[in-house]
Amino acid sequence: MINKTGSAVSVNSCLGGFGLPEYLFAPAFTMCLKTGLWALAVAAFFSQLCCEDTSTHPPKPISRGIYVAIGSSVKLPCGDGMTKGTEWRVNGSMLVSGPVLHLHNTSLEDQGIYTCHSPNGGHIETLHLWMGYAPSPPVVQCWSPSYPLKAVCSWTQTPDPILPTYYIATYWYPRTEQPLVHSCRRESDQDQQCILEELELYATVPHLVNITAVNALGSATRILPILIDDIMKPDPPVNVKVTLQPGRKLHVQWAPPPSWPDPVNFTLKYKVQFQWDKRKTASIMGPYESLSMVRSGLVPGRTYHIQVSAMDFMGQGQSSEWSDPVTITLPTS
Amino acid sequence: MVGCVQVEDRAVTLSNERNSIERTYELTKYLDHQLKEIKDTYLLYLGPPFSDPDFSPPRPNISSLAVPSAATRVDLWRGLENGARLAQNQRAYSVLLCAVRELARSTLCPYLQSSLLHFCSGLSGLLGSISGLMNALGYTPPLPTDGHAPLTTPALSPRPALNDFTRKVEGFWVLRELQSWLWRSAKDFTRLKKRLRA
Repeated sequence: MINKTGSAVSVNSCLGGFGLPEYLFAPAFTMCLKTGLWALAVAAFFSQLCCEDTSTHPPKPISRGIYVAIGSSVKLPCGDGMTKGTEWRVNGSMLVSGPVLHLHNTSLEDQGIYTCHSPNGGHIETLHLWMGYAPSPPVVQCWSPSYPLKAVCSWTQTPDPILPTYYIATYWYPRTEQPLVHSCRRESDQDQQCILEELELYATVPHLVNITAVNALGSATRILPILIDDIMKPDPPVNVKVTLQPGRKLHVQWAPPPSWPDPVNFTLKYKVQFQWDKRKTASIMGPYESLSMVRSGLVPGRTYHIQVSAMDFMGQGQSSEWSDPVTITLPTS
Repeated sequence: MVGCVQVEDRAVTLSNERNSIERTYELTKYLDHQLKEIKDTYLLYLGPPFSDPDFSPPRPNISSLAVPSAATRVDLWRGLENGARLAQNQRAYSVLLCAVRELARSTLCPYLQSSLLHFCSGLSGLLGSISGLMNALGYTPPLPTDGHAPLTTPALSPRPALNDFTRKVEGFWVLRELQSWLWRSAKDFTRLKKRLRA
């Protein structure tokens, strides 16, 4: 049996396997010497075929990644941080000689691949350095374009963390009994917008929305209280049509936004904006609870840009954004 | 001939009911508009932190602010039967009328006191309108609960037992509950209008 280091083993088994003549073994001393030499030769032969010798191979270099906050200082030891003659390279170029790399007041430009090498050039370690910021408490805004069924919360991070950041979004309504915590629905953990669906209407105690940002450098939370009835904001009205009527009148009609689920019970009121003179002058008419209006007394030859916005009929929450403008020019005659 | 008269009577009754609901609805909108102005003045009167835009103190213990909550889920709200819907409004405004009267009595600013008392007249009118509607639709207005006579016993705690800050918190919450109820009532009466039309 040949062991991995190729040391002398049982000769007879090896020699028997090769069928060598017996005359080679006549003198006792010569026999020992030749036996040893033969054993070594056979061992070396077999080791090349089947056995790996790791005694002369260097250990594999360590590879790791670390995350560093921009603006901070960091010390990066190579291995045990004590071996003299090692050097640090970045993206292949020599950076510093010594077992510990100090980076002061780091910036985004320090991001890269750092390698540490032994005095003889051997590769000891690879370090991926990722720069970024720990999350800050998200700035959260919530509104309800689909009152009373849904509300939407979206958030931003300032400064942008740069590093991959994921968010945990939950909300609850503080009842006297144990409140149930709901998950605010999102497509993925990286999305910065979510949908609330289990809503308490006409509540005097606000819902509490909790948005927590997490990345490799830490986490930060914002808890935002919201009264659902206060944050109504419909989407703009749709299908705005403007038709000219006799007597220099414009008939404007529109439809409620499809995202508003129940315009029958949760009535909207509408304002209509007329702009002219390259949209420098405007007049707003309304509110109307109907889905059309007629404006008279318009100027011949003038071009009007007409937009409509919607709001809860009691004036709760905010008006929608204006719909896309519809342009019409009155005939001169 | 008798059948024709009965149909006509029913049509007139329905028309009267719808007019009654419409008037109640319009009164709700008017009170909501009035409340917006009173609330801003009242919060300034209370002073900081009540006058700060995002201030929201914890709600006092329910026993000291006996106003039924307007809060509801949309599925429960939709499923409310007409009589129950009106009864909830009736109960709430009975308590709120007392609470606002008490608020007016304890207000030192004459202008604000006058506005609050005027508002109480409107609230009283709303209560009367709701009761009239319930009778017209064949529902019995609810009795006072917990032994309180709704128009005599204040909903707020007795004055001498509280400190100034606690009274201010209660005043803040009375107006907040009133706001929620007016928002809710407008939707309640809109729904009633649609149901009766159907």
